[in-house]
Amino acid sequence: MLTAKVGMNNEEIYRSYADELTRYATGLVGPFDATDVVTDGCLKAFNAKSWPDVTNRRAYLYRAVFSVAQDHHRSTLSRRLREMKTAKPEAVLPQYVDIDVLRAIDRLSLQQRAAVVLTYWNDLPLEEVADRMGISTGAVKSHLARARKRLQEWLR
Amino acid sequence: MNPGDEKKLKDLTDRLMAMSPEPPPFPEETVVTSSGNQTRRTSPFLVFAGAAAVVLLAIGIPFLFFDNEPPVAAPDTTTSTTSTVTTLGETTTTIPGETTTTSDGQIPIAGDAIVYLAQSPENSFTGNPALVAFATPAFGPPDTDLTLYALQLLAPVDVPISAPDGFFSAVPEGVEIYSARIAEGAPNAVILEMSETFLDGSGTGLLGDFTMLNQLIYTATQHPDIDEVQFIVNNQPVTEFGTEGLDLSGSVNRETFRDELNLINITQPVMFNSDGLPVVEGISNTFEATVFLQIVNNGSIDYTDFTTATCGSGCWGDFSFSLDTPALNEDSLIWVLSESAEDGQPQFVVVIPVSPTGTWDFSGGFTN
Repeated sequence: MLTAKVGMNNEEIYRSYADELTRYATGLVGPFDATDVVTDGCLKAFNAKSWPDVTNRRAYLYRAVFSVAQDHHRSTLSRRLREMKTAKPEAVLPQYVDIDVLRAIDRLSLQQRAAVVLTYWNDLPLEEVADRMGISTGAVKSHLARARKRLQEWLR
Repeated sequence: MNPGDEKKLKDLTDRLMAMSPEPPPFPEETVVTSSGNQTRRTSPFLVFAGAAAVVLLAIGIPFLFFDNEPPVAAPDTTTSTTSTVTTLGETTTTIPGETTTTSDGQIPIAGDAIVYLAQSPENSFTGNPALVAFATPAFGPPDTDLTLYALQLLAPVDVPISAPDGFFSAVPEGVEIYSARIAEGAPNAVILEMSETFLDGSGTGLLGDFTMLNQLIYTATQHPDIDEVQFIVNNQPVTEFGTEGLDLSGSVNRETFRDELNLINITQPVMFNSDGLPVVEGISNTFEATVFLQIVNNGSIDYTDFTTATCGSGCWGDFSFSLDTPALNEDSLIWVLSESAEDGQPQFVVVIPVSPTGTWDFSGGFTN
């Protein structure tokens, strides 16, 4: 995995993290809007007054992406799923869409999605998940526990 | 947790990640600004999107108060005059004539939102927390709901906002505001759909509960057409809230819990009139309706003024100061206060920090 180095400009930093941020955003809002969320989140971060002083830029970008997902796309995935449900029968879903997975994820709050994605996709330790989410390890545990509860059907 | 569940969750995320699209291209800069590298607008009055704003915008005075220069589009961006849509739930108000500047793939900034923060009570010399309005630039597409944006800053899920010194949000971590929508049949009322955690109140006692409610109510009613708030949890009215089990099943407004606030509160962000002079507006319930204002620079009082509110000595009134001095800098503090009828000591003091741009960046509340 690429890591941004001191002295990199924004474009270089972006290229270092764009792929993982896009995957993270996919976990938060689904595949349809992930690129928009990454674009907005990175712009938000790059334009923040505090950006030049940020030391952990990866964590900052993760939180910026989360923040944008939270602000503007809270119900986007649900809406997309509803649209799919009401679409004409002849409408064919893109091949890459795994509707069962999206329905399962849609049951989770944004925080729960973030906690699940960071924990199980990246295999990150609790502390690192907490750092990228900007919350305590206790809060991460709480989100994971609630997520498991909401995913009971999936886990059965 | 059993290993089987771990495996299934891993499988779930792997399948989710398999749907991930290609990363978008590097976002080129989008500039909607009047100076420097800032990429945000600075007029808090765009928040209100009221009739006056419509008229003023239409005749081409886009930045009245904080910024005397018109926005300048950056090179390589596409500037188009389009309608900005301000929504609150299902109601849509269109403001014609506002110019937005975009480049491919970029989403312009929506405008400024008003957040009501609570002043730490020890600053007032007397007790209850005061509310102070702060303008903050909102990030998002033109249809960003500024009211919801502001409310969610008060209840930042796991991302604390960086409040100015001496201020805080009484809305505790874990409370979520899912939506803000206009009530059916009551166009002046906004329904706030809250998470279940809202029912627990502030977690800091009855005064904290009242402060939390006042913050939410004032922030939710920042749009001039909205003056009532209804709270719902799981689609049900809230009948028991916080420490004392307050019944919030009916509509509440800015007056409902007003007596639980400091007796001086600042209801509009500090703004500058067309002459560049500061204007401070609020509500008070002070002795003989007298309200004093001081500008304090580095500990010394450089300016004093007083005014009479529309009511006092037991009733709430409105007050407004139009200062005839521009003697403000980013280190200035504006003190708004009353004096004790008994001994002339300061009472109900509200200490307002000054932002050179008139707005506060609450979006960068990240810690590293």
